[in-house]
Amino acid sequence: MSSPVVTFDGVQRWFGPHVVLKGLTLQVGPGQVYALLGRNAAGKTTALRILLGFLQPHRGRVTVLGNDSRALTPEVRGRIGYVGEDHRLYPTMKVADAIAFEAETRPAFRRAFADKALQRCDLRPAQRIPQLSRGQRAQLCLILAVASNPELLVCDDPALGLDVVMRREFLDALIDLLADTGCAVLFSSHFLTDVERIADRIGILHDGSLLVDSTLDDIKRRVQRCTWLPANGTPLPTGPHVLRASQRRGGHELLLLDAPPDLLAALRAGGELSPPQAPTLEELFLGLTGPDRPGILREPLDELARGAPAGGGA
Amino acid sequence: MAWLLRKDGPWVIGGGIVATLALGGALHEHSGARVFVVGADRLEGAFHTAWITGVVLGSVAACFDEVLGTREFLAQRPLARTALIRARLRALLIVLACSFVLGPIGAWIGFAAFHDGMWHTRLAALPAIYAAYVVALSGAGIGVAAGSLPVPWWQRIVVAAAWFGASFALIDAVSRGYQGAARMAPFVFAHVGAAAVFFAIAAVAARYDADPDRPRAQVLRAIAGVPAAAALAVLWTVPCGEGQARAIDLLQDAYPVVLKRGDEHVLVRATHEPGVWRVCDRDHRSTGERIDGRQPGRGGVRRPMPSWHWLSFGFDAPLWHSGHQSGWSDTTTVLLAADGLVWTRSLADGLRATGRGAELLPFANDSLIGDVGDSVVVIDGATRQPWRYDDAAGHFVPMPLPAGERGEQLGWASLDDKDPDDAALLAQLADPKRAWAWQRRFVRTQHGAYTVRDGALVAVPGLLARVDRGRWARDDALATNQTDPIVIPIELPDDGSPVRFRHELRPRTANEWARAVPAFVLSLCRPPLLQAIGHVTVMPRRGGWLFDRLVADGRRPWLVLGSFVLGAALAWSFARRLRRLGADRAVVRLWSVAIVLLGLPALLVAWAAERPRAYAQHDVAAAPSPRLGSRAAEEVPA
Repeated sequence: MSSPVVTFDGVQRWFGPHVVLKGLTLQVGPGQVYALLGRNAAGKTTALRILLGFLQPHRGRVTVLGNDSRALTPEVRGRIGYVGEDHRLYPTMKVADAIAFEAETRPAFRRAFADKALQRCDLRPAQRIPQLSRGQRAQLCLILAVASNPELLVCDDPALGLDVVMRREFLDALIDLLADTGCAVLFSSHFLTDVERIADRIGILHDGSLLVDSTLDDIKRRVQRCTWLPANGTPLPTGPHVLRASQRRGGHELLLLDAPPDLLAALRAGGELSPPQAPTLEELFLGLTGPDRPGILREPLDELARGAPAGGGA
Repeated sequence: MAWLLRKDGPWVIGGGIVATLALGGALHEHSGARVFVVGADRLEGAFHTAWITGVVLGSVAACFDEVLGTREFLAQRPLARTALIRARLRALLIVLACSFVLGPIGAWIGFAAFHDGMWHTRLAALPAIYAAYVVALSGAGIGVAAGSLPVPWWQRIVVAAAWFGASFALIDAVSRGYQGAARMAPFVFAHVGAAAVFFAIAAVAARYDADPDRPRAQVLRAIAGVPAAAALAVLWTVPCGEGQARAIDLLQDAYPVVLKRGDEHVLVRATHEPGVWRVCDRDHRSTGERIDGRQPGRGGVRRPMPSWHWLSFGFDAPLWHSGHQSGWSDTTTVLLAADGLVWTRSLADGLRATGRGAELLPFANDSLIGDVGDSVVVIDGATRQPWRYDDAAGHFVPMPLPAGERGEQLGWASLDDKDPDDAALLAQLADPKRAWAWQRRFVRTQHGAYTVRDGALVAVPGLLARVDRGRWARDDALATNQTDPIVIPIELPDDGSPVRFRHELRPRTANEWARAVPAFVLSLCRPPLLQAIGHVTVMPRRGGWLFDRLVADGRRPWLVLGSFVLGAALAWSFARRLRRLGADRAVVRLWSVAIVLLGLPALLVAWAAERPRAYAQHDVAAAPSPRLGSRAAEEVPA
């Protein structure tokens, strides 16, 4: 057993009247890759900015490498790598300058590692930063962050704005670079297939608190998805084992957690039940955080089909 | 750290080039001889260019990473905040130092390329250049300090404007000496001191991030909030003073005037009918009696108001000595340096050194030069002997004065050429060969006025007495006017004979009170601390705009007390608000003291700084446990 690298302990944070984090509690262990998922404005970036000391929590506490995030010393900052969503670099520099800048401002920076990584990513030192594509810039940011040999790598939606191929390359680079380093990673993302590839543990942040904080294997083992066509008059199932029940064309789609055999038997008895399957991460995410009114987007489309104006004029 | 400087490369190089060109180019407002040989007495272009350059560079240095979006990219590095701030200030100082060195060198090369005589260049001319440049330092300090404040951009601009206006106007007032000339050492030291203070503010302010949802750090209130309030308080005296001046002008217009009727004096007010007056009693109420001033033998109207005026706020490029630096003969310009060295400049001979007598000796410090009559005249600062430039000889020759007379000044006859008496005096000063405005200058001694005609001093009788009655002399004498503009005692006749009419003009009627009250109200609104200082100290000759004439010289202590009471009331109500918001006691105490001492301006700053949003607390229900949770992280094997 070893102490966690990151601990969020009941963190609350608001911006004006909007409460963004309502008591976030999670831990990231050494060497663990933790993916923080959530819809837009769920509080992912806020959580990461609090972790890095750019923001202070209103309540609760974040501990990073054993230190309070409100008072991170330069020494602790040196043990944290960071890749922002906008892959910000000084636009007047070349790739070689960015490496040199990093080497001077981070004592633990591994120059040889960075040079090798640049070669592997086809980045030339003479290239100017503004001439790099988004994907190349993302790769360079990742190399700069990992080459400083961090104990914790924080990535805020690092693949944002990259196309599928770029994203794949970026993730490959991330996996390659992190191999055998023992570095813990906390990253936020909207790309669930990517998360499935690399994450050990997943947190789904919704409405300021975590709905899910679990390993991927656990999720696959404990959550089941099935379609249920109830017989007339049979009520929809509720209770702690039903994560969500939503109406679909072919019946109801049920997302079940640790479904006991008697619940499945009751469902079979009350209607037609498809064989339960492990959901994909995307299905789980949509099931937990998707809109409560599935028809919210369909109604205007239906009206359009009937020939009514989409805006529903006066 | 060289790379911290290098990341600032774009603005360091760009700013350096622009600053060098600006500061160097600004020196071309004068000739090379004036700037690099004689030593300019005023470098207005360089002064204004320097402070603008400084403010812009300081703001860019402070906001560079913020504008580029690299603030957090930089902040997440293992570097102490102080190291980042040091690097920022160092880059700024490097840019300023380079432009201070390269600007004058570039300007000199520019002069040398197109003008001869630059080999006369003297190091003694440099202090005037650098004294004009020094405002770039204080300007940069203001820019970097305001730019580093963790507040919204519009508040940074307001604070920068307040710091700039207040500090420059105060330094201008402090460094002004005799006849408006500035003293170089106080001017330079004050600006360097201001720069040091603002750099220190920047160093502290840059350690904090802006967060509108949390109360600011107490140290920020102390090092930025209170100075901002103080600067605003200084500036606040300007509209108060202007408003008071307007109200008092109206009040004085409403006061009755004195009419001499035979042997007696009466108080009268004008009617709508020209020349017809309405008589008032001692309480300024109309008696109903009317006097037709157009009838012969009715006597003249006396308006015995003190000729005071409000000292206006402002700052300008410093003038290093009060006299002129140059005079013009027919073909030659004569240039006099502050240290007494003299040169001539002409198309034929270029720049040439000259001086007293054939030995070309320098004049003493603080000598005066000007065109008098048909010659260029210098009054030697030590002997007070007038000297005339002899074109033919190429040097100055002495002009003897009557025994016991000493050249005091080169006076200026500010007379009305439409007045026959004045025109006759001006005709004596005029040189028929040179019909230009400068012919009004004359040599002033203790007892007389002289012009120069055919190489000799010629007395102009009556000129001195006429000039001393003139408007300019009177205004200058009243620059430190201490009199009360509201309560005005009158004693007539005022020619030394026994007083036969005595009265005190003060608000007595409702109309007069209606005009006096705004002046008193504005007095109450002035910063209490400044009211107290102005009440107990002598009104300064310069910077008088800072203080209130109504309470100066120990007058009206109730107004001073009233301003403190008003300040205390404002402080009390704001303290209640702060306590309601949930502010710490230290915060309440700090702003209370600031508001009591500085009044309304401090209240405004406190109100802008302490927003309810920063103190808002939300009752957030405890977050439920994740619906889907598995083993905690510490249980995951490393």
